[in-house]
Amino acid sequence: MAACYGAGALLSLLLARWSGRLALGLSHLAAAAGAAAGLALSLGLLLGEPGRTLIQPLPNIFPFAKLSLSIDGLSAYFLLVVSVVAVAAAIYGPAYLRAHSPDAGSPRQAAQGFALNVFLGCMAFLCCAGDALTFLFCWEGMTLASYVLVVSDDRDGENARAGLLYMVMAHGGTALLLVAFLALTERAGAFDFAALRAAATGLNGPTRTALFFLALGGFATKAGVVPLHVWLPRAHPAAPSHVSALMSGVMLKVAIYGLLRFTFDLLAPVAGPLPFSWGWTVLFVGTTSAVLGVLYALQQHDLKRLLAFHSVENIGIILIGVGLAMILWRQSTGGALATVALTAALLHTVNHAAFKGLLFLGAGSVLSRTHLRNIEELGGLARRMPWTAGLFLLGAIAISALPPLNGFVSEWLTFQALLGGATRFHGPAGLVIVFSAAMLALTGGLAAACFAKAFGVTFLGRPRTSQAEHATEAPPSMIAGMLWLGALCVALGVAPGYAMRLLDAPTAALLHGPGASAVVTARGPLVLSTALTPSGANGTAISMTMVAALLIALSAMALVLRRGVRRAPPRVAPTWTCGMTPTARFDYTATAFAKPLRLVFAALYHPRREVTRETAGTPYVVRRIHYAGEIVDLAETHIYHRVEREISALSQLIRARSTGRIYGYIGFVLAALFVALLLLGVAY
Amino acid sequence: MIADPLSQLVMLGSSGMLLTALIVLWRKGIPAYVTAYRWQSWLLAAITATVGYYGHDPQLYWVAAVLLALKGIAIPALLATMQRRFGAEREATPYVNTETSLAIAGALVLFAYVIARPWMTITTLPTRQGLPLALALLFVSLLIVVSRKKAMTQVIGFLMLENAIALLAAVGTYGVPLLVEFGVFLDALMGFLVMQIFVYHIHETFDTIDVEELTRLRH
Repeated sequence: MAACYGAGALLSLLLARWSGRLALGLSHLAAAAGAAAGLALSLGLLLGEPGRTLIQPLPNIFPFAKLSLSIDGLSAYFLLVVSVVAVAAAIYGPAYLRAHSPDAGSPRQAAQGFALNVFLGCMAFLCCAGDALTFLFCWEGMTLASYVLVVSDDRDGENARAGLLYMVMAHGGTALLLVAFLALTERAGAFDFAALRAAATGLNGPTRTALFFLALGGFATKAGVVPLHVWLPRAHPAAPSHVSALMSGVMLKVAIYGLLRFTFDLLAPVAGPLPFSWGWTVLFVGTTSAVLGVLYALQQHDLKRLLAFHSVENIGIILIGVGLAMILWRQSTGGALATVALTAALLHTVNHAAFKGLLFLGAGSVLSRTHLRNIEELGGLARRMPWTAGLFLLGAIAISALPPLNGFVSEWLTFQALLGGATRFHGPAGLVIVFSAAMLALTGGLAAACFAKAFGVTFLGRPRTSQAEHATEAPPSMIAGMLWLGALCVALGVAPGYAMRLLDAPTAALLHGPGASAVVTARGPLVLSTALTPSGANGTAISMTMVAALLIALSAMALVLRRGVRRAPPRVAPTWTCGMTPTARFDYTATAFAKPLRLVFAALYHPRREVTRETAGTPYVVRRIHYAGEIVDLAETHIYHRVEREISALSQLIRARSTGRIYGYIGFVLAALFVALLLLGVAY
Repeated sequence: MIADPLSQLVMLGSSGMLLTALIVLWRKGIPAYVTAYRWQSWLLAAITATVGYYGHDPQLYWVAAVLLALKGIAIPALLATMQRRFGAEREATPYVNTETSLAIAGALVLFAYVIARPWMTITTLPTRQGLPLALALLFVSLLIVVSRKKAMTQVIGFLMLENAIALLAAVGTYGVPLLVEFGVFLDALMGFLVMQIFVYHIHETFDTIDVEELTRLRH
């Protein structure tokens, strides 16, 4: 796997001068091979004997630390998630890059191939890291490579700004992580995870909690949790689409991996539950992210930006599961329920990777064919790009958590865990969990509304611009990449019991309790049932396969019935539009579709709109109406803009005192050095 | 005063390096500065190799070789290219004139000996005689950066500062690990390249490499 990624990176560098096209193709091929190797490795480990850990020492390049890779169940599972999307992205990538920016020079193509391989390699190794140094090194490599990819797409100012914001936020997060990890390594005197685990057992409560919150801050920045999400809706749309798929589908999950590893493995006390504040905080930020993410997504008209906001939402859903698992773990009454919650979170991780990857690739197909991202300017693409439309619809159904696809399964499991958890706690705690469940339900509904808008406005109706009208279907390799993820969505949705077997190893490794399939699947791989009590008395069960079969049967029946009822032959006639010719402007626009919700949630959006009329002399003849509307992101205006103002006020203060003379500045350095040395000399 | 050949050689080399820095304060033409820097880098490489020979550390030969290639040959060549491009700009009117600069430099060398005294008492390394000289070189390089007006001179001052730090590392610790040394090389190279770009930009914008002009950027 390492060899493949390394070869891919090297090849693209070597071929940069010679042929960008070749470099692009070969580097993506190498990435695909690397991802396939990762897939094989992780599947082998997950389906092999339970509790096995693969440890591979790395060559010592630093005299002070031993580096190693260690792959346990959790690592293997996230390696699987990385590899699954990486395969699709590597298949999809070359054709997309060629179609999207045909005039790109070969150095740029080579740089993209190089950065993609580094990005994938770092993510894969991050999941397998056996020591803090490898972990942080890969973390940084992942950030830098994805930054290169974000700014590589188009050479315009917006991409550069998005990249800069991403860089600043990511490094802020990395700084927090560095502090958290270095505090542990300092105590342990070594970098490997086993030593850190041993060192963490000696920590007292407040230190442990402080370290946890540092790590949570660091990982949450990368995961794009509200209010640390502001970089996400800018950086993800700016990247090439297959990279957006990777960033959204995988990179955010790597942050979840880090959080799980740090909390449940490194920092967990030897016995007893995790501190009270941890789980509830995670549950709270998860719920907030889920609801706010989908609400802001609803008002976006840029297809990729909309998808990016949905990533915020889905990370929220995953965190709800993680938070619940933290709350319930090792509680006297929690027991198996913590496993259910963690299973839900992990299952949603792979599900979200599959359907969000699919959606971003679909959006990329639209973008590469029309060069438009604003859905108001699209429309009518279903007829022109049938494969893309069908696969995008599949992803949309999955993300809206509708049966029989995979999004439904994991959200259903999350609900089971939440409702089960609510019965375990009495009083306010139980209410909070019920509230969280209600918010999750709201999220699901809003997501469905959002994708009705996104799919309807983009693919149905009439084309609104000539680019949309003359769009053609994407090339086969792009379709193949999407098909792979689409198939995964269906497979995970219809037969989720098999996925439970994959989840056995990570849940058992993390919680040291029963595996996922022990508590979730009771009757065969096709039936999901949660045994919430040891006897399984109040467990609920659902068979996704049966649901799927039922849905197919019902639609077949409806079709047959309609055939039978139809008497008169269909008559083709123009649509009655009060005597006018129907145009694309009659269709629902995205803005109009989202208007009711904009009004309902006006307190959150602070919508602003501006309508100007151009009249011809009298107010009764309107020539043209110009409408402009926008909503604000509360976190952005209330937190970030305030900080920005403070900083610029401060820099104005400093500016008033600066002379602009270089010798003055360096003179200060010299003087400071003198004083410091004198003081030290005196001290001796 | 000490018969140990290593100590003698290190002292000789360090003094030579300090002398090259003083040449920059004394002369006014930029080509002379480049030549001074080249000699200084060769001396640094020689000192490193000497320490490696007497300390039986073959890694230091590699460090010396890289030093020679990078600082002794590559950077001076780049500096010469830059100098040719900007024509014969001379350090005609520095902030501090030559006589005063040399006097200040003398005071700085004395100061370095004072500062290094506690350090000298605690180490028993045979190279310790080089420590105050390395510190003095560090101060003099900073003085060059502060007191001269042309961007080229300031870049050379920075590079000499970097040499001073390398010398300090070589004589103060009897040679640092190769990995650390390479990290420092990379830093210096990057710093130099960035500064080179800046100098070109200054020249393009103001038609001179006099950093006095930079104050015009503030408004």
